[in-house]
Amino acid sequence: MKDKAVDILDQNRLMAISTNRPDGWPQCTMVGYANDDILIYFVISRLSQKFANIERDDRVSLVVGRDFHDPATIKALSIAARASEVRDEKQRRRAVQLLLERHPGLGRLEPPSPEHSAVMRANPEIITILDYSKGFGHADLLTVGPGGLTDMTAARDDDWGFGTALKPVS
Amino acid sequence: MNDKAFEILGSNRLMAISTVRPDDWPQTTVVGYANDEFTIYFVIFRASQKFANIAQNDRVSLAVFREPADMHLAEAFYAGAIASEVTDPVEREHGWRLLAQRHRNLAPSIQPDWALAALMRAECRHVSVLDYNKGLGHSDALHMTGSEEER
Repeated sequence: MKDKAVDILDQNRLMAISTNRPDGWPQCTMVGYANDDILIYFVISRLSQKFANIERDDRVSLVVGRDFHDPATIKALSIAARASEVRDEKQRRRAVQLLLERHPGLGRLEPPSPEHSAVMRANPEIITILDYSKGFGHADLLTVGPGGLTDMTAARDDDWGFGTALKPVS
Repeated sequence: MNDKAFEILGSNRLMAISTVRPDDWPQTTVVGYANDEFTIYFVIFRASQKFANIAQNDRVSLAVFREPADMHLAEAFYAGAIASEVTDPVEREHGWRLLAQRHRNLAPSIQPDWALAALMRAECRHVSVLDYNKGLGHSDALHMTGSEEER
């Protein structure tokens, strides 16, 4: 099941990330990412609200997926993770390298300067794997603990009452 | 800026929506939507964590974005919004019709079982439009009249 999560991470490069603002609102934005197994790297501005939010509360929620023609092909991840800045220089270089490989367009820009840009990592704690090929709304849950990944309840099917009747987009 | 916001909202159909769980973790998922200007309609399962989160805390955050061919063309719509269930049958009909128009696999005449699913509305309060056509990282902010919070 972990392999399926890593596959989905490998096949995408954009994610929605939600952080907690100090005023209690969630804040959802999009960022490019690269992953090393299930560890997720991204770069944000030190001046951004996101960075301030994470400095104050490291709990984040991530979504990875893409638009679809046939709902039965949806494969996506919803992840609860803890985010922190990568301060180790070696790990920072590794993260930037992975990001450049996943996003070749970034190579045309100035490399991220540590004064302005923070390289961040998100360590997943709970991963929900959506796989609608197993039924509309089918989701499995994984927890990531110190001892590695543990399978949790094979999930629910949220089919809105449609059952299997939802057709591909024409 | 409204025009750019409506252009982005009108040319997409999926959004990321973040809600706040009872344990204060944010929770992000993706849903299909349709919009009537800054009112965003979507359908969720009543048994979902999202529905429970919104019942407890109606503040949500929305992100609409599609990856461009060139990052200098990136555009995104972000909003802080107040979400609630649409219980008025006339508005629910309106919201469902808009959803069926935007999502061609839905039929206007075949509605979900509303005992299982809920048609929701998110009223945008704070809008931010990212428009890299105007420069890398360019964004404009808009706060709706009557917004309770300043961002």
